[in-house]
Amino acid sequence: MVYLFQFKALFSEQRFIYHHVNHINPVVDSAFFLNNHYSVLLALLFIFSVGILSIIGLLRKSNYISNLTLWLLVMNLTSFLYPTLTAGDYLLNQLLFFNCFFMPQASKNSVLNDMKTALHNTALLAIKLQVCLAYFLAGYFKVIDDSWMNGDAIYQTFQIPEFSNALLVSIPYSITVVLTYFTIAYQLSFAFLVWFRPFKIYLFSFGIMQHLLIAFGMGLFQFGVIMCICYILFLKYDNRFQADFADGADK
Amino acid sequence: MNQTTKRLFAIVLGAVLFFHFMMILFYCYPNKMKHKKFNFVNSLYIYPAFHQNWNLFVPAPNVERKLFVRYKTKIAFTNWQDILSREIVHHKQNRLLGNESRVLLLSNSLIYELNSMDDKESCVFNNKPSNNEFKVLQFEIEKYVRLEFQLNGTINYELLLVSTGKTKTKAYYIKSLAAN
Repeated sequence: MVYLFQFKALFSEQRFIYHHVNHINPVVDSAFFLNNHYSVLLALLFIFSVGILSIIGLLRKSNYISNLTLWLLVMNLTSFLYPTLTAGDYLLNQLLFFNCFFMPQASKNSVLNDMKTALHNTALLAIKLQVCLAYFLAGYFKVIDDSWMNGDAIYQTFQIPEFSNALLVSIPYSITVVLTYFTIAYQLSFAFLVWFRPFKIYLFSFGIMQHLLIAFGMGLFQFGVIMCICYILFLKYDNRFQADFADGADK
Repeated sequence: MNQTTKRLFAIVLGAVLFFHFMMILFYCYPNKMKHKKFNFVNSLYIYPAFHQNWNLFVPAPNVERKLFVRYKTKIAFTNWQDILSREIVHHKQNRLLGNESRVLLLSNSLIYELNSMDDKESCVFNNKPSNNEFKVLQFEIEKYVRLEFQLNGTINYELLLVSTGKTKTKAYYIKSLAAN
């Protein structure tokens, strides 16, 4: 939807995106097909295909091939839009990669079903590990940075109009210092605490508030929303898939 | 699937996961290993499919950047217009319309260009800079000006790139640019 809203600026003949054809090798080039064979029509085709495959996925009619295609299409779109990407886009690519191994449709062959279940569960675990790794690294980078360790980082960021608004810029310095240290502690501890049920509610509450503030206050909308979506994967929804697999095997 | 096959399958999947995340950890870790061959293999594995970067807001931004443009009409130059601030204002009006991409595009290119000129003091460029960062920024600005101000034909324009920090403000005035 966002790509369609900004189609003229990002994909049309009048687009602002600097376009540079670059062939590396066939494997890498698969992520740059749109970039290397760019046309407005091809970009439209990619965007609509992503929309259709996403709907198919939401209706749980997807399979390995459609999931793989979705990942490749999104990777091509993000490669083309390289200068506009945030960490959220990179994370989305990782989520879509592991999504390739999700298999909502159970097979009647029990051996195949076992393998699919194992792949599904491994992919789910991989996404959780990816999110934990992202938080831990983000926290670690902050620990070794002076502006974060002296407590100024959030105050400093809120003084830059690009990442602020009238409300954020008015937050007292003392509160931003507390927020700075709390953010570091949150990011470092997330990877360890999220596996324990009693901590989840507190982690997710702070995380959702923080990411909504990043999305709507600081303007990194896609990043904020994608991070919030990741929390869903730590809920118990995956039990439903396991039940479905069990049902399929019984039939 | 018997128990042994299940265990074997689990071990293989576990090993793949371990390998994958160790590679990502080495790729993202701030202190790169000083092993050229490993770094090459690591980049080969990660890029582009698993590329990621988690130094979010590190270091925290402490410089406000502005990107002023003015172009020649039949009569004279227009007033300077800060096109980055213009986009930031649009984005603040509605976060859901995807203006974030436009802000990031201009902002990132401006940061790259200003970083490339970090060792220079404020100055006037009579000839345009020849680095790649400027080439990208110039392309974006020309396309932006054409689309947003609905200009056709040759456009004569000038740029003023400004970075304002706590203690120092730097400005680069780039004259006599033309977009054909």
